[in-house]
Amino acid sequence: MELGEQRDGEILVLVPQGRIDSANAAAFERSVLGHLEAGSRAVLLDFGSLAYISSAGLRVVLVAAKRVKAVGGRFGLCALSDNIREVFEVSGFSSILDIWPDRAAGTAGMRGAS
Amino acid sequence: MVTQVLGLSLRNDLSEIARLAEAVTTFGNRFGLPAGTIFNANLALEELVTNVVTHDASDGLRQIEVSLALDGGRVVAVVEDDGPSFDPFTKVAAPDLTSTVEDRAVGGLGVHLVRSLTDEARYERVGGRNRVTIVLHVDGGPRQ
Repeated sequence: MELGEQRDGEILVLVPQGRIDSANAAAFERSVLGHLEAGSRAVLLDFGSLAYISSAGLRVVLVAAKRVKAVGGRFGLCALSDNIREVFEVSGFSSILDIWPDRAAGTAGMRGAS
Repeated sequence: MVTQVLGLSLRNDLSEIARLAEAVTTFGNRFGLPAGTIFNANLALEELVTNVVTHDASDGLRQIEVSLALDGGRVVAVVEDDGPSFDPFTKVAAPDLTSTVEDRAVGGLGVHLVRSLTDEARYERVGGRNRVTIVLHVDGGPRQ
């Protein structure tokens, strides 16, 4: 699992690649929280290069969302594959997190929410 | 009719998840299973194996046996271990699926995902071993 980092204006876009499972979720958590400690108040997780995520990864997504919201920031996800979207739906995450179809919609949506 | 079976023996260590995923994906591709079925089988098996690894506090070396069979239009997978009796479907509390981000408890989704992404999931204690069997219907068969 690699975690790419890009900036779109004030929005930090994090791009995990490959798989997030119980074996590497701790590394994913350290990477994501390390980025958040830099003080980002608008964070978009772009899942366009993510093939797989299990409950261990969902846990990290929720921890990150809590962290960003605790400082009054905005948190969202975009570009979920059909399989990953189903995991988010059955977990109830789709109804509590902002999820956009692609990055352009995500960055526009996060700016619109400011 | 059972047409093909794959057997895999794993140590009780999360580093084995990569080997599990590779075996499930190879099995699925070899028999032309839909990507969604392979994804859900991978996810359910990862959650079950992770549960066995993380609920075993004994620190002992254990073998976890995973088998996969293609039985007509169904994938039947079995996870067995020789650890203490543990039924994930009754011992793990149902998760909170509706609270806000701020209030929602972290974790506890694994067993819920197994139930949600498979068509059948059951536990038995057999001959001093835990056995969980899951069934996934291929080609988008009806979910329970």
